[in-house]
Amino acid sequence: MEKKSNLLLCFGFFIFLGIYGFFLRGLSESDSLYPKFVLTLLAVLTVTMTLQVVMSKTDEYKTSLFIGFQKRQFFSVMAEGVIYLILINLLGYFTSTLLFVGGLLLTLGTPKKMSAIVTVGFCIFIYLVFRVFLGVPVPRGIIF
Amino acid sequence: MGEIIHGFLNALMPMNLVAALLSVAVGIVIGSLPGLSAAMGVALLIPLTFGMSTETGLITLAGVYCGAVFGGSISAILIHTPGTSSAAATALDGYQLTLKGKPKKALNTAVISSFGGAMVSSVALYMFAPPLARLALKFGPAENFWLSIFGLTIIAGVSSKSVVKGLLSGAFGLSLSTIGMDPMSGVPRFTMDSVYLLDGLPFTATLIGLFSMSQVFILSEKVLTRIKNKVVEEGYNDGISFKEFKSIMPTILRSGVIGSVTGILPGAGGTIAAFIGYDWAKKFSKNKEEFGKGCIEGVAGPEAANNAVTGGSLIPTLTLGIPGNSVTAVLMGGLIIKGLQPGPDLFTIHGKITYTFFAGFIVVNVFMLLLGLFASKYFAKVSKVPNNCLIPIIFSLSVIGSYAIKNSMFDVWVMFAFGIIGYFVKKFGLNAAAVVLALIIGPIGEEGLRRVVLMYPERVVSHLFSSPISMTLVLMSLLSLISPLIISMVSSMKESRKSRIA
Repeated sequence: MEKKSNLLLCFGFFIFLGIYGFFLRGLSESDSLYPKFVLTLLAVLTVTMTLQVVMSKTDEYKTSLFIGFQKRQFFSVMAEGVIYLILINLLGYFTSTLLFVGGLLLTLGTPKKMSAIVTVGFCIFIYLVFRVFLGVPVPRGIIF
Repeated sequence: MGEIIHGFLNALMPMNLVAALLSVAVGIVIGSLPGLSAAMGVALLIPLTFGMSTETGLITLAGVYCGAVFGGSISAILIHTPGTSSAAATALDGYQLTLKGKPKKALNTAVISSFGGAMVSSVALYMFAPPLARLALKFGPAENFWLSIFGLTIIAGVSSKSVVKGLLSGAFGLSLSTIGMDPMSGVPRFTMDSVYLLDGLPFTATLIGLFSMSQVFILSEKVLTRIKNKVVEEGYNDGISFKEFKSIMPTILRSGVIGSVTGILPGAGGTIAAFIGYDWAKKFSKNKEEFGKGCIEGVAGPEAANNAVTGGSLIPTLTLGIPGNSVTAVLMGGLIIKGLQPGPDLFTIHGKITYTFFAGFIVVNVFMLLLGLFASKYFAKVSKVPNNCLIPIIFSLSVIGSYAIKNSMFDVWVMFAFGIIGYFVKKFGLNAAAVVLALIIGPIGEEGLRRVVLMYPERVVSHLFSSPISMTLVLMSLLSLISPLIISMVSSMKESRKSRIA
């Protein structure tokens, strides 16, 4: 077990407890009965885990959570993903997917030729499966 | 009996056969891709089933589930990389057989054993699901409350590395389940004045976020190498002989039973069953010394066990609404979306659908056997697909999957948010399956508790502990919490005894 990462987790749960408890204030007694039960359960478990981590003598004060973490790559995927979701509202699902898949493949270092094949192939595949065969609705944009 | 026969006839309809074949193929592809899980595959495929009839949709999900569990063994055998965690035990002897130039023998053993295990578990499904569903008829509000607690404690206690973390995951899921209108008064809770959240968190979007989108982030943080996995191209003539088939039959049957029982125990899962199956295969084998060096019994044991879990885990899912593992938790979501509530109604009002699903479960396993025997080599090539291609594809499929249910972009953003939450859940060693299970059983537990308070305001506590079923569930909850402690104590005692002898 790693003390640092577990303490970080406990800290995260304490913040969550605070937010959850804050939103509980405006509820009547009967409406808040079960949420209060859940809040108590969460509080007891978070305190138990904190004590377990703090009192542990064998655990090392370290964290290996982000060893080898590819910062640039990770945040590129995240950012392009957010742009993609915004673009869907404008360009519709198929056009924005074409741009997103192609763009992300290139960002992740896929050779251009392969990127083009995968992008076009994937878009044709989802068009045929979702639109033609199954009739599953896809997001429409303002332009398309 | 009439419903069972009707189920078979219905499952053999052309549309259902096509769905079974294609879904098994998709499942095998997903399973053979290291890093992609069966739960992720089923979550992504749920929206695809919207355009299908309920029976066809459920058969499709079962096909992906069974296909993915077997698919994991293909990459385990051919490239020593288990596609799913439940195939880790298969890699021990399977890859050794490949190194000896006998990949076909290993693959044939794996698929025949997988089929055998699944058949044993389907017998268990037919035998045990209906009586357990009848027992569920006796459940009142107090029993439902304790059932939700039992479901959480067992999945948190058995399937997590740390009991506290498992329980924390469950409690986190319970807190998420309280978002939306109060089940009794209809007062909005934790909705932040959003009309989109009045019905609670969109379940499928949350599911896809936790299992599929989170995987996108997990893959994105790793170094994306362009080194392709080498798939062995030779040794595909030497299959399994009849004599060898006869020799592994006892192992298949034994592991089938092990897997079915493990599957029925919520939370235990395919990985545990596979290792028990491997261990027992070794214990009962005449060729103990061959284990680890490329022994077909070493492939048959874990493969029959992990595939038997598929049928076994459906038993508590369909009868009590407690999923046996993360895949059945997702599958149960698909069931609820189709308007089917797990419990006795599945075997009475919706009996025809349920028995078609059971028969479909057998049909998908027949297709798995055929595809495994004749096309494993080609499925293995899928493991060459690099992660940089998978990342945008899974992302786009997650978007369409979460949108399709309510045609709402809000659901897509929820899915994205839960992708980030799921990423941290995995990073910090929390249990995503426990979060999903809590989301499902939270409202059942709340309704149970609220009804008890409403009906017996003066004696809430005494009523909660009044019936034998409630007491049994309380005891089982306690046992599931204590069992990891007992197991670790027993294993440490064994270790110290071993070191003393040495």
